[in-house]
Amino acid sequence: MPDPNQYTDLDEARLVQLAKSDPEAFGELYLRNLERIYNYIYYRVGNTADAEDLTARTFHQALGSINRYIDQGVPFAAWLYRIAHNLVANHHRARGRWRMTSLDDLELSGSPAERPEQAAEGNERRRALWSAINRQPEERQRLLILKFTERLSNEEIGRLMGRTESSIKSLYFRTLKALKADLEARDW
Amino acid sequence: MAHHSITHTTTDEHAQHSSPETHTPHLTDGLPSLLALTRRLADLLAPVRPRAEFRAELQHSLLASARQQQAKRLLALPTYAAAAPTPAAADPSRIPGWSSLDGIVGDKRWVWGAAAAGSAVSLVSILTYVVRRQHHRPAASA
Repeated sequence: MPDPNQYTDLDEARLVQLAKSDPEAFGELYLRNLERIYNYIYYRVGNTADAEDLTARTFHQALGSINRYIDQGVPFAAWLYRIAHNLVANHHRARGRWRMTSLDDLELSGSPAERPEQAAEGNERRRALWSAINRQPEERQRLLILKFTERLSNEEIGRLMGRTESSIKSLYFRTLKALKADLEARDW
Repeated sequence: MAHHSITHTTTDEHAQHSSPETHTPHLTDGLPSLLALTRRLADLLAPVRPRAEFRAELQHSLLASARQQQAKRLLALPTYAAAAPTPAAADPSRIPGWSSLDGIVGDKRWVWGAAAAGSAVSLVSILTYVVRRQHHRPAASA
């Protein structure tokens, strides 16, 4: 068993294998993936409290099931995203608002340099954009979060979503066009 | 994570889209507004960091659960053997702490020896009983 300080140097496949029996290895997997999973959930639920709750549940569920995890050559994060996605879906279902996050929940803040009226207008536009994103199919929302929040390339997104790079590129372009059309229809 | 600016990423991608040599005209229609939209998206969906307290608490809680899970696996050996994915762990004789017991149970010479000793004790008991009865009978008849 390696020195816990050396976990940071281990490649993911080895780390996942170790994490099945070694708590410290799972701890390293957690540290590597926390922010991306938190970001994904945060932008699906729109508030810190629910994001923290669902992030904690995602990692606890992953810990409980890691012995059944089979490495299929895709990033470990893809498995975590799937758990997170299911929990977010259950969360929305339980609240009776599948896919649609309440605008009241969205924690938005304008730039500190903005004047109050500018900040108000900016927030209004952000809310409209957020609302338009929420009207998109779940797959498109996921793509936008991975692209803008995670800043992943089309190839990386493809590996996480089980699609080819070119299909992600095409989906991204269609998503932008759909968002634009949606916003224009509402005089954005 | 070595992330470059999303504004650069999306702008670069759209700069490619805008190249007339590589894209058909319909893709470049309304490109400035799409570019503006990607900037708005980058602004709205900026990465957020979880609170430091939350990060630390969750790490602590996960480590505690992982250690508890590890202890349960070591105690519940059938479960451990079934859940363990590696051939070494799936073989109960290789589970730490079980190798000595496995050696005793698995060693057939030890089993045969114990059986032979048990049989010998029984035989000696029967012989002793028979001899004693024979000694008591003449005394009783006299």
